[in-house]
Amino acid sequence: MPVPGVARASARVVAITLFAGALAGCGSGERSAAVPRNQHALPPDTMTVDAAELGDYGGRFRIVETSGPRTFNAFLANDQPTNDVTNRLFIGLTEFDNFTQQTVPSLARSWEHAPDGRTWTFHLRRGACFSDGHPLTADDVLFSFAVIYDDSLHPSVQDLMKVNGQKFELSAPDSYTVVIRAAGSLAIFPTLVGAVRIMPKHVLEAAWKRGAMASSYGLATPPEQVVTSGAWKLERFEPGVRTILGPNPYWFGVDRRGRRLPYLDQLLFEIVPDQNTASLKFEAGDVDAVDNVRPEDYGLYERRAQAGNFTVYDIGPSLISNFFWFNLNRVATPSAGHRVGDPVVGAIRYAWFSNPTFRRAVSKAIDRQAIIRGPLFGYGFENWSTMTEGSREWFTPSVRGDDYDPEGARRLLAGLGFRDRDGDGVLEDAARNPVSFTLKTNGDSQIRIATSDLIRDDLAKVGIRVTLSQVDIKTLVTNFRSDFDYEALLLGLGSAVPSDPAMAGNFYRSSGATHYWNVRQRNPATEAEREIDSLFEIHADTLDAAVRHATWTRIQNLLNQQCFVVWLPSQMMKLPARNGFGNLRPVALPHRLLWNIDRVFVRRRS
Amino acid sequence: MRAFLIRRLLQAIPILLGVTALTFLLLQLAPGDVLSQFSQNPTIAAETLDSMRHRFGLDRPWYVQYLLYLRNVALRLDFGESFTRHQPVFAVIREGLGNTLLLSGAAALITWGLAIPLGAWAAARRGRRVDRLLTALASVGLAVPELLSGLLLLLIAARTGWFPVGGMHEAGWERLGWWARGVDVLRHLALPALVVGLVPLAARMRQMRAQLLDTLHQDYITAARARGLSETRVLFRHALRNALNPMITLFGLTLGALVSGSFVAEVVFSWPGLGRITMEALLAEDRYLVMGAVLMSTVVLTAGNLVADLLLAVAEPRLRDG
Amino acid sequence: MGERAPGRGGRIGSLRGVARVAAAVLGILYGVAALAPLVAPYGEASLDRARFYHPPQRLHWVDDAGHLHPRPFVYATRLAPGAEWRYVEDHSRPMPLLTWVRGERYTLVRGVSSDRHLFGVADGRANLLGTDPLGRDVLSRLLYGARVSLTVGLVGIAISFSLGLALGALAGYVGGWVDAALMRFSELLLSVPGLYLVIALRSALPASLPPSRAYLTVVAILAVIGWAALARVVRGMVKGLRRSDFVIAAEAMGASPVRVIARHILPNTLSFVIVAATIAVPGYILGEVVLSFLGVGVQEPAASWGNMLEQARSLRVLTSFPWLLAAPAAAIFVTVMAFNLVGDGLRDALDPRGVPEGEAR
Repeated sequence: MPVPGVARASARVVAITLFAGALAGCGSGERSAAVPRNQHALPPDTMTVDAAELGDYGGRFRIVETSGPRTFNAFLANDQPTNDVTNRLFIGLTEFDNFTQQTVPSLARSWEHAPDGRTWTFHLRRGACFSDGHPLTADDVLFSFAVIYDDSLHPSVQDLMKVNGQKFELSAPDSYTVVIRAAGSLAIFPTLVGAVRIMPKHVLEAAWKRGAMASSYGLATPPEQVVTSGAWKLERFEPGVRTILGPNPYWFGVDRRGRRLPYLDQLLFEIVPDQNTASLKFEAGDVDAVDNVRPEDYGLYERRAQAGNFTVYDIGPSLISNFFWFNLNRVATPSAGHRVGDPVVGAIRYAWFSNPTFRRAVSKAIDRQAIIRGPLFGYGFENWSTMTEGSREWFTPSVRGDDYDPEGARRLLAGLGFRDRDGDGVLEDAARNPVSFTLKTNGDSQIRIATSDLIRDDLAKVGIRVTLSQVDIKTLVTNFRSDFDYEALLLGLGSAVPSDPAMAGNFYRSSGATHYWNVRQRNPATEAEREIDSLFEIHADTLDAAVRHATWTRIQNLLNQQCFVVWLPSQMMKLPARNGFGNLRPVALPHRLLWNIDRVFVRRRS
Repeated sequence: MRAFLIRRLLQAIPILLGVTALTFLLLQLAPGDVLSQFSQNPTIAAETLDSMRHRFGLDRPWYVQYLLYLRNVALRLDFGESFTRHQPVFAVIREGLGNTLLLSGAAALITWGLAIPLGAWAAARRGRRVDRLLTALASVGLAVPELLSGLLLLLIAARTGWFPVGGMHEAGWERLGWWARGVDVLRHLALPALVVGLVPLAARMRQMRAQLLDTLHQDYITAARARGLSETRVLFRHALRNALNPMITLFGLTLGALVSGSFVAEVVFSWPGLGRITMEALLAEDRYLVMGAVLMSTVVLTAGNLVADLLLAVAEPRLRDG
Repeated sequence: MGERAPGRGGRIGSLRGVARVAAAVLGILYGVAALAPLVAPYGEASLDRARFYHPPQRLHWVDDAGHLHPRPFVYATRLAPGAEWRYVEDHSRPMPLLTWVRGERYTLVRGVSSDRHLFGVADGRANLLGTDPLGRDVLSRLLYGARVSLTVGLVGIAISFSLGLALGALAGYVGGWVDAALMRFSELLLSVPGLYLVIALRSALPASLPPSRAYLTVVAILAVIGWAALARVVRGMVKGLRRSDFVIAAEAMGASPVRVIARHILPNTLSFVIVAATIAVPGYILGEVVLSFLGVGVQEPAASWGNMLEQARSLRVLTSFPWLLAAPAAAIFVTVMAFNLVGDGLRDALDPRGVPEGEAR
């Protein structure tokens, strides 16, 4: 099927001859028109960004997105393609180093906190400017927080910036100091506030006061009017086709030599919705990296790496955890046949699901190695927590789950009184109900469908009949957030940035909205959940690292003993990226490629 | 004639109302709403979503929302705002409309430009090698889904470099001259237009062939009976009109579908068209964007059918009582 | 070319050679599909963890020593060590292909169940068309998938064509406000986003419904709104034929409208309708590929040609596991080709009798 090199080369010559004068921008790493640099003086407080190598100016980096940004307004950004762009355009008080997985200074060059952990003082860099030269001061920080706290707008990031349901109080003693006071102590405070992106008060305040913030910095805004605070500014937007970013001429980040960053002249986001097409574009040299490669394609890329002049980076364990759980939710709004307080799945199934022994038996019956071999193509690992092995700080090796033990599973089930009384291969409970349930997942993920198929087969071997159901992702989300119309549901949980358990309060707290198996409980339904709640409070509040780790270990073990979720393997990740770029360092925590794009440069061919 | 047109215009109004109401209802019946996608993010509280719902007016009963929508459209030509893109619906649709028309138009050219002659050729050489080959090729065309033919063509494009791998134009396109720009777009257009036009080409070719076989067959009998030439000509003209009759209606349907576009081809080839925008809007339940797209495709559909009816009337004056 | 024999048997009998072969092929396909659980060596959902991505196994007649065996056989295979899926034949273990083998239990129709399969191997597994990512036998899934895909085509055209013909003929014949109303209604149906209807319906159906039945329901509903395009074309043709001399003559002789439509008008539309049917059938079969692409097709673990194609639609499969794509693609192609040839044959056999002007018979 592949055309031999010579034939391809001559085909290329023909194509070039035929369309002479029409070709523009073929090939990778081509230098675009050079961007004038160092036209503006560096501010007194520069941020020295450390990188493995020192680079030269010029060149461009092209990546693929499945869809275009929905807006350039960082306050309204809710989805990944939009965040990928707005997080380059705007910065926060702090930033996260995806490689070391530590918080690093950004707009704030240092900070300290009061002993009670509730008041934090951030010292901003002096002389920092927006992309139009206007000074970036504490006023802009206060403005940005005021906007995110605007209840009529209610940006989604607002919910992160609360402790015990209360907003922070901000004040600015002077132009370069911001004091933030929270209702309680919060361990991840410095990282958390970095999620609020600083946008220009001098441009947007008038619009906000008019109530027009929601339509500001929309897609139709001319690029030169989008004033940014980050290393990049918007150069060009072609709707549905691509987004092009260029360097912010006033950026305060410099390399070790004191030269202003970023090195690259252009950062391009090509919109390619289909994964196969993205792979082919990479092969053809149109883009410089592909993210979210399926495990079965790793071998394909590795075989081509030499000829295609790219490297397949082994970025290690993914931070996405996969699991399924049983529906223990209770009816909240009465409807036909359902009284308030009844279990949604009905009394029969609830009797099985609510029994931790039943859940343990199910967990023991699952052959996780087969899932790794099959759907994950061998590129997987067993995972027993929301913090996978990919989390440097929070992965706890001592936390484990049940090994594959179908015999043990059968014993546990027999101990519950389940027996196959009619010889049809399916167990029945004491009341002669056949032990069966439906496992739901989303239909557009082949890996999840294949995994649920293997689970079905595993459980059939121990006498439990599983019916599979696939629905579109929206229906699935409605199922586990609102109407709870499912019996068991298989899902994955991505990692937030930072990858800190304190960010997952909604999952661990019994009152949380994504405490999937039993959301928004008024009071913890089980002793274990009560204990997890109190441990989590300590874990989120305290600033003592040792206490945090101890409580975190305990929380994980409690969760696994109760088997509230049945853990499934996670994926080992690989990412192909073109050679010829310096400082390129793909990591497992998103954004895998762009987290240090301000330091990436094109190597000169000597 | 004018009465005919006015009547059709008036008849179009209940259609538009019916389609919009039906679509609104479908959107309502589908689980979740445009904010469901945010529900997946565990850091967003339920109260946030509720307040967003209130702000967008999604918590009011559907008929209230529908009536408000109608009022805005009728009085101020305000088609609402897209929740997911934070832009007026009109702007979003305008963004994709031209690109889709380009793709659909090129595909229609391929389809109709080749279907008529190839169908005629196959009919004329019925039973012989050419006919068998064309029938086999048509079967291939009908048996290969767009998703697959798109992948295969892109694979060829990537390996040979003859065509770009998807997209509509290269980066740096704005710096080219007009001629170079046109050529660039044409190069990007070639493969997706082929994919979109292939299945209809196979279908129309077969239908053209079948229709002509009827007429040629009749011709043969008549000629064999050695009737006068003028009768043959009358026969031929009449029979040909009958042969073209269904093709004209089908052409009208093709015209009517120009704006809907093929979202499959647009996804696979990264073509920034309305089909893809509409599909994303449908999946995200971006209410007003869906309505806007449906409204426009209904208008174009009725217009296409109107054109077909007019053409039919030209071909057969006796039809004009419709 | 001269007289056409009327009557049903005569029509089939007068199909030309190629069409007869194609009709036989279709008959075999539908027959095998109906008996899929018997013909298929394995169950549709029966997976084998030791045999993910197994290539099609070669049938041998001659063993290593040069002896000719009475029955064809396959060699047992084992996984070769290494990163990617590679299997080697174990020549010490030939497994002859037996008929009427005991295998998994299945139910053919209600009340009729058995564990005998048409062919298979005694112990071990033989995958003549290879296996899929979960080690399921492709041949078996192809046969089970035929049940869904072949039925879907027929159900689809049965519903949409009967509605389309009836309503289109009515609109074209009667004309006036009936025509206008029907045509405007058809335009309304054509404008409704069909895909959305499917997604909305999908979530409304109970999860306990067997996957193929759920899909059939979806197709039936699509067909009920899918009559619109055919109705428009038929209406145009009927309108044209309405004023033909032979029709006027028939009416003058007192024939009822139904008789006129059925005996004089519709037969002249047959060419178009038959070809449209042969085009619509693959449309319904392949429509499922798009639905699977969106995640709302026939549910796992049920098989259909459409969802087998969609699962195989990747570069990896194209380059490393081509049998996963080739099997459903070939099956679909054979079906489409057969329908086309049968359609052509039918068209030839059912040629409308007489020219519109003159030879009223």
